[in-house]
Amino acid sequence: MEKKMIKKRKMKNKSVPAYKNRNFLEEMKRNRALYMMMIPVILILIINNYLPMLGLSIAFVKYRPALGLFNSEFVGFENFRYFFSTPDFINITKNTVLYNIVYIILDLSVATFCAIALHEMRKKRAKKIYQSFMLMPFFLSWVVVNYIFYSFLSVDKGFINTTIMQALNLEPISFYLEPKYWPFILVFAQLWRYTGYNTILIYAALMGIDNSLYEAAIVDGASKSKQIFRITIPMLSPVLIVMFLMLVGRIFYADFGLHFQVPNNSGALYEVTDVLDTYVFRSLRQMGNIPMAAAAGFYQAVVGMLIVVTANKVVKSFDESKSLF
Amino acid sequence: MKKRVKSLKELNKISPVTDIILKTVFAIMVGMTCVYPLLMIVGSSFTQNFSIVVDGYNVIPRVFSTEAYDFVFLKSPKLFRSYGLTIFITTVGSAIGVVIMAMYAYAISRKDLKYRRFFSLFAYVTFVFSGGLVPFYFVYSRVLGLGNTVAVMIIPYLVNVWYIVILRTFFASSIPDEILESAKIDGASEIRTFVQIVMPLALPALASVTMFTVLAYWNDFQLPLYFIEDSSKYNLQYLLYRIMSNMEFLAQDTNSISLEGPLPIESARMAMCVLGAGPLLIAYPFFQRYFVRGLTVGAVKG
Repeated sequence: MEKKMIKKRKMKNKSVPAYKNRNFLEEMKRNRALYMMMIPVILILIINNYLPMLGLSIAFVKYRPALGLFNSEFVGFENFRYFFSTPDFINITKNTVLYNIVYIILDLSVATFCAIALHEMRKKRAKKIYQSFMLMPFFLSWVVVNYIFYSFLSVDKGFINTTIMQALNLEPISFYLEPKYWPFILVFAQLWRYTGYNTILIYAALMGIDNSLYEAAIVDGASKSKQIFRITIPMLSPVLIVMFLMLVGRIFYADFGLHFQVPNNSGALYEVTDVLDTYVFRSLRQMGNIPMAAAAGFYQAVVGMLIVVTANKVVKSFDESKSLF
Repeated sequence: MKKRVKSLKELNKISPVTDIILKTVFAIMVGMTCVYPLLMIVGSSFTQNFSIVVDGYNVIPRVFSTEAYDFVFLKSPKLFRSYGLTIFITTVGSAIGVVIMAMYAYAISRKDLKYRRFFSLFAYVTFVFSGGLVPFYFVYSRVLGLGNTVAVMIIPYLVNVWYIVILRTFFASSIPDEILESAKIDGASEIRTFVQIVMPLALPALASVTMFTVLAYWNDFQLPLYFIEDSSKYNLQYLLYRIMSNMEFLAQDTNSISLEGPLPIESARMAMCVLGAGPLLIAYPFFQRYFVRGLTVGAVKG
């Protein structure tokens, strides 16, 4: 018994790293080079992330550029009252969350389907080629994507209107003026750009499934579809759940490029294309309504943060190593 | 006799018929959605402008012409300036960004660094808390006074915490402590160990992160959209964006007079688009490997 205790203590001693006994100055002296190496990133993080966090307080003042943040008049929640009373507030919140929900569900299911299909294909070459082409849209900037969509949707020159609609003897559609088509176009654009990317992530998880499971299943006479539904999908589900939760964590943040570029920032479409990010941008830079932009931005930052933290907690309960902190 | 004994793996393959069906479905989907649009952009850029105005965009030019490229190359010095600027921003930004991210990631991957937990959190916290666009905009334009400068298109993208996570994971898992220890015993300084031992060993991860960073800089239109007013400082993507709306405006103007404007507006638009996306698409097959590897490394946080 005593021996065990001694052994235990010895092991404990051994596992205590040397740095535990160093004080602050000793540590700084000893690892000076390492700390110096961190300085550039620390500076950038302060500029990019930490200063803006302090700057959120701009939402509580009546900002006047001439006076600066600290000399502007403090107005408490007035900017928020103003923002929450506009119809935009409900509309953009609804758009942001609903689009993201649709994106998440479709992204994950389509990518899972593609990954399994690619996995089952017989020729390795074919898999590689399909993967390459599917990933291609991911490399195009949203501006280029806008051009591509424009070449299909333009009312007088677009492929759909000039070729397809004409062949069917139908009236041309002015897509950029008609909101009703845009939920579909945006969902399609999103899916189009990210499916290749998501497929690769899921494909990598598929490769990690233990082959002996399938071998056992074959010996027991399980058909291919049985194998997919009883082995592949259950084995994938932890990865899918984590991906799902991480995407849900970002549900309050929209893809600015997608919602700004693809509808070509067309005013007639705001009702269905506008999301928090584009709204904040327009308020700030195009309408010059800084208090409105600041209030909307603050709202997004705070609610977004709460959702990320919650999602991360849930991720942690599924898979500790996948949580952010 | 031996030939008839198939391995389990062989047996478990899908039937040739299913295989062909799957492949056909994929070929059609991928062809329609990923290949066709690109061909259409390229095709249109080689079509005579008048033909596009009359017949619309098409993959195969009805009237072949290089007038769009003649116009873009000969009459728009703006394009060259933007190209140069984008190349400059991409090179400088990626080089500095990757090096400083690697330095930070290496430091927090070292197990004998006392405050490594604090500094990891210092970076990871930014995943959760963000100030959003408005304060970000004011920090750069008012506090630092960088509005309308080239620097403002570089600094914001230098650091991406995801890539720090990727690099840190790679350093922690793929570079054995023994190597670092022996370098130390041989009298190598911390910096020398990093430059001569750690960086060469981490090349695959560095390549992936470089790819991602290059992609972010090359495809960026947001920073100029936020900060740049001066048209001589438009980067490539932002120039493309401006042309999208400006050419539209021009087209409306000339349409009322005659269909044949002096500028090949429609085809030039597509030629610009080809030139904007071209370099990345040409380089794509070569760096796709690193890209895919980076994606899969990033999925696992150590």
